[in-house]
Amino acid sequence: MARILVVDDDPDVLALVSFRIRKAGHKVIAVSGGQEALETVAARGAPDLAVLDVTMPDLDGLTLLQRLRAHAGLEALPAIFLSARVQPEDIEAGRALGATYLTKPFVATALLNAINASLEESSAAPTDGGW
Amino acid sequence: MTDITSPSHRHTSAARGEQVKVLLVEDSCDYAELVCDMLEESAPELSVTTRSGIADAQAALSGEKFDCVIMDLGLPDARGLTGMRRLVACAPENPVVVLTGRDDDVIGLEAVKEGAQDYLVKARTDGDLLARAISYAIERKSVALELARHADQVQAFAERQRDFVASASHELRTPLTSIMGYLELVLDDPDADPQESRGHVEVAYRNSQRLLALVEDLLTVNGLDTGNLPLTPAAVDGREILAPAADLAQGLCALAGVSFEYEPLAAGVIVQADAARTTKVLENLLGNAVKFTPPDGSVHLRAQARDGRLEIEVGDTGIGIPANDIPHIFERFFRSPDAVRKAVPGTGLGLSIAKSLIEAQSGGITVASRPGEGTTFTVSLPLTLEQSWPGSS
Ligand SMILES: Nc1ncnc2c1ncn2[C@@H]1O[C@H](COP(=O)(O)OP(=O)(O)OP(=O)(O)O)[C@@H](O)[C@H]1O
Ligand SMILES: [Mg+2]
Repeated sequence: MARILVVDDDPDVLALVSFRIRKAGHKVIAVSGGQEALETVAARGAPDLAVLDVTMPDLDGLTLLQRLRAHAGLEALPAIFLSARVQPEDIEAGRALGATYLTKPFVATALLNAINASLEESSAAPTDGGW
Repeated sequence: MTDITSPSHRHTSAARGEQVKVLLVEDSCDYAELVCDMLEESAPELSVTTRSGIADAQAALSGEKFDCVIMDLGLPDARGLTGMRRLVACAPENPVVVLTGRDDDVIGLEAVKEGAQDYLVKARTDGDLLARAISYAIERKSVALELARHADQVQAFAERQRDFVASASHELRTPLTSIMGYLELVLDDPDADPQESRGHVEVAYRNSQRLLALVEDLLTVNGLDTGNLPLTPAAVDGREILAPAADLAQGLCALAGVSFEYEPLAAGVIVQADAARTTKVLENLLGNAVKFTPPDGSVHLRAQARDGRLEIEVGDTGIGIPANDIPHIFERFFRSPDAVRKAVPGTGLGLSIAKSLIEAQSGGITVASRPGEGTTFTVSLPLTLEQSWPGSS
């Protein structure tokens, strides 16, 4: 079981992604914007993985990931972008940060497989946090 | 798009019968004098200013506006086409005619390729020929500039269209993500609690409605862009525009727990407008007003004829719009961060469509807002002529 931060500004998509991840047995903290994500991480501790929307009004997902990784202990935070932006340059920009890039609409198994693969790859073993 | 071949788009001095100012760049005083004499006889409307080098000519061009430049290629400070290139670069709007002693087809062609309007050989040029070359050069250059402007417009349009398709794809994918995702949840688990499945289907259905509204908005935007959105303006009673919007708003307000005030317009205020589309615009404004007004607030719709126009006001006591967002709210796909944070549904097309539709009908739309207090949009439309000129009917 891992602690997974989910950020998406669309409430239905946020609920859907969170539901899927919870059903797969992980702990989810769901927030609807970049600022909120940063505050949540500061207050409640580091997640093992982030699933991030890209186009968000207050802070785009790419910048958000960079800010998250600026926190001590989060330098290698694995991330999955889940985005409705599908242009090659968008995908390239996401991958350049070492993240997996999935496009919307998404198939649940693809998301869950990507989560498992990222968690296995990341050196940090999931710990029991305060969530 | 404008008809670029229409003469009304060309405003050369010659066409207006004004004096035509010619800059002659020629280092031989004798020849310059000869040109002046020839032109004075053949075309007295031309006024000729002479400079003997490129640097002087550049200085003249930066200080004064000329209609045409005639230049020699054998100038002391820049020989051959180099000097011409410099002049063309410093005054790209000016037609340049080369008038040189050298009869060379290759250089002539090269000069024209690099922006000269003509290449004339001194020994074979007389006053009439030169005068005609000048007036043709001015005309040709103005057509060329018009074409270039046209090409820029086409390119800007293509770029906007590309951005639009990318944004539209993004916007369409968002409701589709929920439609497919929630249906997938239902399909994945046939034994799920029916209550839970029903909840998922409801979300999918809601997002389908959202998708449909979005497709309609996208079509409208595209129609506005390509001129494929026929408006059918007619003389209509203002109440015909307002009443259906008021009905819709009444329902929306009741659902949202917001009070609605509607002051029906007096009879006989006739505007020139496409009634159905204008009603849609009001519905959009009223929809926004309801979306951005917390329960217990109020929304109003009222109208009055003033100064030859019908002014329709849609106001609310809602969250308001921050001053730095105001310049952007009529832009496509703009939604205030506040709207998004509060998860108010929308795509940010409504106001851009409203503005285009109202302006296409010679109307205007303005906004006044105070954060925390409320927002008022005012739409104004021209009254039919009979009314704006009392006594004429
Ligand atoms: N009455 C209002 N009060 C406060 N903010 C408003 C109001 N009307 C518009 N806005 C702001 O302007 C933005 C753009 O409005 P617009 O109608 O173009 O888009 P939308 O309502 O978000 O989406 P759409 O109309 O395409 O469904 C809104 O997202 C909101 O931020
Ligand atoms: Mg709207």
